Amino acid sequence: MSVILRMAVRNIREHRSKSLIIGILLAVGTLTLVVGTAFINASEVGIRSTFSDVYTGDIFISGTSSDGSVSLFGVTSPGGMAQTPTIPDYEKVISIVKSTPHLAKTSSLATGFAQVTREDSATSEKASQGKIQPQDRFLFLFGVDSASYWDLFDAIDIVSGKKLQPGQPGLMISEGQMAKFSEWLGKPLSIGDTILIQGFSTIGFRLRELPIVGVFRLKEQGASPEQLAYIDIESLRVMSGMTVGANEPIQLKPEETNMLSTDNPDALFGEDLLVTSETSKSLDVNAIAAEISKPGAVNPLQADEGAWQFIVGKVDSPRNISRTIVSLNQSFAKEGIQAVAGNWQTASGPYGQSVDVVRIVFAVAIIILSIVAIIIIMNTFLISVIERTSEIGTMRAIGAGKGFVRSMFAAEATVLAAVSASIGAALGLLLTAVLRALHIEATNQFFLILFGGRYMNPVASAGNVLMAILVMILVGFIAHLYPVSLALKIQPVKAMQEE
Amino acid sequence: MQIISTKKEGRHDRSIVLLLALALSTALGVHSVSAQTRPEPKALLQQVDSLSDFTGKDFSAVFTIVTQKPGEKDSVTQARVFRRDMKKQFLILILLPEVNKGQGYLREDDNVWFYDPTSRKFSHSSVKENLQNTKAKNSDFTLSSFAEDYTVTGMNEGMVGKFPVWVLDLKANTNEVAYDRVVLYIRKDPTMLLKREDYSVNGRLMRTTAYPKYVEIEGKLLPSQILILDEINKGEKSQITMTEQSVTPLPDKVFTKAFLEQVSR
Repeated sequence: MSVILRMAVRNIREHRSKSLIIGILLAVGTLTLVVGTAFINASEVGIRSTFSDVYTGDIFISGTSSDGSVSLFGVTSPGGMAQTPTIPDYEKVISIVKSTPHLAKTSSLATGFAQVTREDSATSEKASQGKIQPQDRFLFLFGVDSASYWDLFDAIDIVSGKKLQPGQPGLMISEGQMAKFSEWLGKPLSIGDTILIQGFSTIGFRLRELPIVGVFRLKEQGASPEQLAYIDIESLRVMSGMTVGANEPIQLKPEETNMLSTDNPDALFGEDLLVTSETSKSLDVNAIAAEISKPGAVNPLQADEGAWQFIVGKVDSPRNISRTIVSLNQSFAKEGIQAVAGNWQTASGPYGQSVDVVRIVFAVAIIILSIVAIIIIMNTFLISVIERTSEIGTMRAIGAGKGFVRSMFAAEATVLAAVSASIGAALGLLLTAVLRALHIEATNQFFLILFGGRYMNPVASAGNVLMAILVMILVGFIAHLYPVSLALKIQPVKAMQEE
Repeated sequence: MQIISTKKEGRHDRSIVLLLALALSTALGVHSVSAQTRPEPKALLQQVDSLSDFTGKDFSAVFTIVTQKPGEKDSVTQARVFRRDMKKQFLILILLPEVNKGQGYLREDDNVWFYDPTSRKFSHSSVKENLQNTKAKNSDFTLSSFAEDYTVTGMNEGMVGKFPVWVLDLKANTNEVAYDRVVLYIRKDPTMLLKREDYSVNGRLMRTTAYPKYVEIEGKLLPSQILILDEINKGEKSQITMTEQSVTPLPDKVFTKAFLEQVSR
């Protein structure tokens, strides 16, 4: 064995230029792997902390829906907008949450959608010529419990005004939105001004005029939608139809539902088509308006005080996230509560997934790069081995078996790969450190995701470095197999004649 | 009396779209065509079209839409609709569900206002834009014409229940319409639309609509009960019931924001 190893080292030295080329390729491959995985690590850690710091927390609790998975953005259902469930047995859930160890801080909230609108049509013409599109007026509303929310998330800097206070009705919007809304409304908005927003939920539309109490800037961009706005929970509940008795039964006449039991429409045409005319000859429109104005069984302004859709919380250490989720879910199951706990990815729903897609694309790119590297290395090996065909022939002629030749080349490839990969890994670590020190800032959404935060912060773990070295040794070993087996197929006599 | 619960299922939006569409085309008139003679297909189509024209008259009615989805509570929307085609005006007042009672939609030319009585506020939008959050488009607000939008590709005789019908196979000649192929089942005598099947471009049956009950108002026939079957999501269906129909002239103030403001909660 030591003979083979010595011969391998000697051969590497002897064929210095070719060894150098293959070595450089292997080293560059390792460097790419080390730096690449350092980025993936940073992106994973960064995205988690960015999301959990800005709005998802570490732990996310919601009700369950048969229509799809529940996130802060509602229910992801194939049919579109399904109703976001409220947390059932909220009091019981809260007592479970409070008694769960490691769960340091929590806050309850509900979310909804709205659009900034206006009453008159006069300025519409002007606006339609402007740059503000209907989607620019969209708001993704976080109805927060001001008493605990700001303590849990320190994600925003107030540009003007104040944060929402407990019991205070109003809206907090971002700097960007403030500018867009001002442009659309054709007047500069300031703190205290009211804006008309139209909430839309599964129950329908609701218009509300609310004062702007604060304008904010997110400390970390990239984790939350640009349309994020904070609203007091009472207003959100009314706008989203989370009102007492909203689901009260409706009494209908039999003829209003009689056809719903049939699946064969032709069966409906068995009798006469004409029904007696119910035409009302006189129509008192004022009486109709008065009738509708009469107070009904449901007061659409009476918000359901106990209705919350979500509880978000932070644990004392990231290590305890998984076990806390398991513990909460066990408690909910034991108590028979239709609630479920998840992590930041559950909470961020489709938004978190889209971020994950970028990360997966990046990982795939690295894999493709590695495959290309293997092919190039194999090709270089092939040229190198073919050039040594006469040497192989001579060795075979003086009695070296195929096995010996194979072992010799295997040792050569492995030693070369091990040395080059180690150098590459060391350079990779150095490059990672340099990139970290440069403190490069992300300029757009793509880089925010790639960096896992505002600054480039790649982190190479010992496991990743070791894996990169082992992968490249394997690559070197696999790459030499084919060219050597080709060279061994040639008769020693012919091989010796090769130049 | 049957008790049905409302479900906050996003169908409210769909119901509104249905209402808006219905607010524009509801009337079918009585025209007698001899059962013995085979009418010219195009003429028959024009006849069906002309019957759904209410020009020159005010119209009002109460529409109840009950939508059923397997495994879920039924959703209910009830609204009173006022229509004045001459001036492209309509007003819809929501009666049910209770939580949305008094909300209204007013259209005048290309303007549509939504009114919320709980805040006594209006929200303006233009018909040129999408209406609110619904999938309603421009085409939902214009009167459709079978004769203009479709070409008859086939005409056969058939039966719907106990009634002999002409089965007209129509192919869209514009991409402005929602369905590429429509099959109409038109009662021979008197001419009445009994059933309609809507097909997608690839020939898949998307929706079946039945008109099994009519009321007669001043010589016109109006479908008073409509059943819509979703053929893609089997088991999903809507029943639309029209009551309190009236062609009494409406005061002009009905089509104003002030009238909506008369309603308060």
